[in-house]
Amino acid sequence: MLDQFEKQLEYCTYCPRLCQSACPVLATEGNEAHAPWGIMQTLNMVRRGEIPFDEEIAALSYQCLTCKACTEQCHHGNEIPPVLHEVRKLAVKHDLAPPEITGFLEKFHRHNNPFSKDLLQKLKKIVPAKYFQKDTPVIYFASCTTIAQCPEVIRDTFELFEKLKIDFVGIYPESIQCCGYPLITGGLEDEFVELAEINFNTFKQYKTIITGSPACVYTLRETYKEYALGLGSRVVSINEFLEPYLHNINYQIKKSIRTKIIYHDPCYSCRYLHEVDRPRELIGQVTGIQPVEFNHHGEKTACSGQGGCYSIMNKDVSDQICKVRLEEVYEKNIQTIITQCPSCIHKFRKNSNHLIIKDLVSYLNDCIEGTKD
Amino acid sequence: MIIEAPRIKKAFLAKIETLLGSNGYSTKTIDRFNYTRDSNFRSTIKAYYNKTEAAPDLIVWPKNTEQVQKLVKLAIRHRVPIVPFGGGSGVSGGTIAVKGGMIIDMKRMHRILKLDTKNLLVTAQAGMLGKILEDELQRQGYTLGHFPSSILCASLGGYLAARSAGQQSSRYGKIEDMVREMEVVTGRGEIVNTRDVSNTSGMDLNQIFVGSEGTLCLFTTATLKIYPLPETQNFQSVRFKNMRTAIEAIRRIMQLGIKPSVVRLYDKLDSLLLLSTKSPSRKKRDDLTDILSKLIKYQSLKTALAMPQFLSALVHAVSTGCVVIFVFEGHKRIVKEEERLVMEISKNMGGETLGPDPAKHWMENRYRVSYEASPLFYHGLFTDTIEVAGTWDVLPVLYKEMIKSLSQHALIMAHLSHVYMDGGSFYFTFVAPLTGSKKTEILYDKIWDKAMKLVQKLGGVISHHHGIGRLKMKHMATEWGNGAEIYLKLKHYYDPYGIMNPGKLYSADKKIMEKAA
Repeated sequence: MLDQFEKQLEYCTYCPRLCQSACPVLATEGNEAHAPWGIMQTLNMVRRGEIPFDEEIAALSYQCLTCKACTEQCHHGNEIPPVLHEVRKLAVKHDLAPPEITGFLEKFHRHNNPFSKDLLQKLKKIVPAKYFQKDTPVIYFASCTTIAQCPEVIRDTFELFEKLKIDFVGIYPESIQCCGYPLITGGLEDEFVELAEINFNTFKQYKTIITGSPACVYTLRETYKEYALGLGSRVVSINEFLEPYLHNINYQIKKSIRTKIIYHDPCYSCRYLHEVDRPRELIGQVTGIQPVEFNHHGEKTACSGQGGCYSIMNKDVSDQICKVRLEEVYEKNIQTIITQCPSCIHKFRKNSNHLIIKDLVSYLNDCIEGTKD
Repeated sequence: MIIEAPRIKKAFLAKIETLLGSNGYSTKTIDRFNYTRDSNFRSTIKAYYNKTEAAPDLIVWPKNTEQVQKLVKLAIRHRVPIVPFGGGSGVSGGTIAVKGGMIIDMKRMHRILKLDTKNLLVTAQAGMLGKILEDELQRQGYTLGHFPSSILCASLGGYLAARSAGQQSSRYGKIEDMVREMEVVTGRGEIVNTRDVSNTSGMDLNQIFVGSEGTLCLFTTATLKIYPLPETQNFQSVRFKNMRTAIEAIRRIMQLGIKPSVVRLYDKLDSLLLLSTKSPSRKKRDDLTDILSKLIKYQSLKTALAMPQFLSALVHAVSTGCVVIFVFEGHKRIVKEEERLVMEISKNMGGETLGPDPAKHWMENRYRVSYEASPLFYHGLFTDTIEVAGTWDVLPVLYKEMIKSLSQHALIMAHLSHVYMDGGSFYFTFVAPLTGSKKTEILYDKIWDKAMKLVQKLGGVISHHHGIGRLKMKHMATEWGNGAEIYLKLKHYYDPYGIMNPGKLYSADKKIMEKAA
């Protein structure tokens, strides 16, 4: 068991815990057992057959945000999330997963998304009908979390498309509006594969699939490939898609855009997709200003607390991690956070009273008045 | 792997629950397993062979000094041993719960409380990790000047408990030189504030507690000196023919009153490793050196280590010489003059200039060495470092005798760092094959025992900054001599119930002292 990860597990076991100062969970909870070092050395004992694989071990594998801050600090680049994802899969297979996870699955099954809602119906209320009727090879995949928790981002995206005279993008019109990321990060592999296969068969008819959620980009582009459902270069992030238009089109800027903003790098953007410069370049391109940076930014970003499925089991700690991130915004006396992950947006909104939290596309849409010609 | 069930009375646990809530403590087996060891390599050897050290009965995570005080009072009432815990970076076994009991993990007390830029002081809670503290200071244009190799995982409380030193202690001093004021909770359950007496007369009360390794108190907050970030940093490297000449050159430099922030002298093997790592200006070396560099890869090394004396002789026959790296920092003009003087002395002593690159390379990779433990163990080798100190007259003979004595058992290399007017600290790094649980532990203990006795025989001191913990405890009677009485009086006063980190640092009980190692 877990022998494919022997080297990673052994390296962590012998390490004098050099990633301690990077882990947001450890910084908040203080429990060595939930530090990357602790989780890995415990799992190594499971691999060696010294500790049985039971509910306690299964639960341990969910004590991580999968933000990869530890990997960033590790000289060996040891990757913890792949190990944990494997353990989570085994936990589900052996019926050892925590009740919060099995409960989550029941909820998911109702409408094929984590929100137990008919998200297609909701999407139809957000986006004008004309975008559903398009016969187009280019579609925008909104993502379940965006539809459920920050629908204005979808509205703003299509508004921006109109301002930039991009008229060939339709909205993904299927009843399943989830890529399956919540399933695979929870270890629900069979359910993920089932969903991914259905998605794949509809996705493959499109030439380009645009999405604004970094976790969705990674899942559709990388995780699907692991299950021989590769969509390859068809999947593009909204930033990749917008970049040439924002460079080439002569648009008008609103006058009241000089608001001080701070940019939060979502873990999936910077550590999984390595997209650090592009969002800043887009902001600079459009507004001529550079966002204020968090002390931990770019590849050294700090998680909002909503990473992976951590918050399902650890809501309080997850909220505390978020509040630590927000403290810095208050200290810097900034009113607006720009980011690009629906989960981060939702988390920040839930944990702050008066801050404005915006997706990058919404922000760009706010700044751009329309094209000049 | 065996973790025994916790031995904690229900009444005690109920009080803990009331005090800290259900998220403030744990008796879970998995949690207790993760507190069975710190970063001492004897425990790592055990982990290699699926063995564990003693487990605590519970772990608690207080959020403030008042909670710490209440925990100590509870422990006194129920006679529960207390083991303070910070980042778990200690390499002397100082946080192993040898008698079970309660580990008080301080990591939830992790804030800077005050940054006084006028008087250049910072007050922080003891659970704050070193890197986070230093990063925060640097963001505001200051530095603590404290850069131990363990900065990524060590806590402020750990610094104070073990009398830590950073890589730049030659300029900034050790933690005991930095601390101005502390708040501690003693084993009597009292909160004591050692007022800043740096500008007054009388005893410096801080020094009663610094280095006490949790045997007298828990550290809760500390006020430390800070410095503005240096205006400039210059780098230089020099190669000397042998260690004796290099040591003498460094003595002359330090006694001239120059304060480089880094001075590190590497012996021939250590120099070989320093120069064999990627460096843009690295000159092509002779064939034998290249062969040796290749030889010192894990698998080959394991075979070669069957004959450590032969390997050491081979390494020391290689004519790479001994490299010293210097880092100078501060005001541009002062730095320039310090660098000029150092290079002049070095040249007069026969040193060959290697330029800034080896020193720059070291600076860029200054914490990298700690990552080397993992691949070594993974390839069936164990390692550890013995950091000892001595005055200038002791250091050359200490180096020579330690290499001669220990190379019979392991591949050994050394560097001199942390140098001062009156002497410095030698780091001996040894590597040997893992050859079975018992055999390896016997070899490990033998190396340490031999090293400690030799250092004491030659007039050195057995620890410069890693602390005593469990590892060196049995040598403390010789180390302190009749001065141990002072400690025992303090121990009797501040820990009247004997609950504070038992089995560490020193005991009046000979059996405990011997058992410790």
